[in-house]
Amino acid sequence: MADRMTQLQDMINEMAGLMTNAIGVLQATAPPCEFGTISKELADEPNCQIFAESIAKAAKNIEILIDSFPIEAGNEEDEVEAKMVENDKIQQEKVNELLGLVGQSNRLVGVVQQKLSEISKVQLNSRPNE
Amino acid sequence: MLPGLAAQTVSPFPNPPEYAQQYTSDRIDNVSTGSAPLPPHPHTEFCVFGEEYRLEDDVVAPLGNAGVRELYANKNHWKAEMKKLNRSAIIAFFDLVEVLIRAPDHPFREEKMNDLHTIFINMHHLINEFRPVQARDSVRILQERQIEELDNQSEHLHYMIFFSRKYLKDGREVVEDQFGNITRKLEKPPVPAELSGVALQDGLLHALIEKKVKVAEESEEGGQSESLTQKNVHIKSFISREEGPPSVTHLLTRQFNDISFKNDKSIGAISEFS
Repeated sequence: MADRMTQLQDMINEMAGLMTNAIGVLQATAPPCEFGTISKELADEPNCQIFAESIAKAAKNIEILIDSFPIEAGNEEDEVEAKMVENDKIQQEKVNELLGLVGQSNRLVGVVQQKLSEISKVQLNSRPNE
Repeated sequence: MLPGLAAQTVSPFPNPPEYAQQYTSDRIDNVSTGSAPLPPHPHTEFCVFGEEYRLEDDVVAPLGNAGVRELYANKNHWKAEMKKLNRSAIIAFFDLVEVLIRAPDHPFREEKMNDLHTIFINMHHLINEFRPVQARDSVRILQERQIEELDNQSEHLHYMIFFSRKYLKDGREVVEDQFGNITRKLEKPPVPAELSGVALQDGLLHALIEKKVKVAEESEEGGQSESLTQKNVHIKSFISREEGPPSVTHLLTRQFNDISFKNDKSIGAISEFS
């Protein structure tokens, strides 16, 4: 599912769609009616109820989604930018530290490999030959 | 044959710009003379794949540019404004339906429809305004996650280095212990029975140990290389002598000798462990 902003946009579009469809469908599928009175057939129209419920539900959902956003009033651009610059500096330090550690571990690996090869040489040499 | 090879003037790709001719290798290499011109200024307005880009403008164009009325009061109170717009949309829809019921021809109908139109455009505009903020926040969170990942990796590496150093040290201690076990004076092996005719002889290892001890003593005196070759000769004759009954140790040391005296390095290999 897309992020919340996109979801909100979709829901708004959905509500607009429901509104326009409600009016359109009800007008197109309406049975003939008399002036002044509401015939029984007109009152029993099911789409009316369905559309009304959907539109109300859509509006409610939009409101709930808006409430769930983690926005404080006035997210200052400058604060966030300062934070980003600081994070960049910290990341550079950590990267250098990691590079040093990697160098150390490479050297250790070399030492271990050397010892292993020495051990294997001695083992080979100490075998009795035919 | 490719048709492109025949006619040099026809090419599927556009030619490089005219000012590229000024950047010859000579002019670039002699940077000090400064004859290669500075690069041209980048454009801030251009057309890419049919879409116009204007880099000087605001990221989200204000609503007035599109000719739409701004309905929200304060851009910073995002949540409250959005909820108000949501409610207004429902109310406007309600009004529209009322007008349609009572007097569909009335100009109110057009008015209500335009109201609804404006409200929805405003809602979308508020969301667009928020997008750059969201983008900046995501970058910040991404940075923080990277830093955390780097931390984890460094800690992991620290552990690995620490443990491998510990294991190397432990291994070295074990090897030194074992060698100590060998070189220390062991109790004499049991004397074989007279009947078997096997005699005990001092083996190569014993000779090497004696040599090491004697070398240590003699190097203090200073006649090192002479004593080494002397010792080697002594050991060789000692091992290859044919008289006397063969012993197990004799045979083994002769085998060892075949390898070691061909390649003196293996003597060095044993002494490396000390």
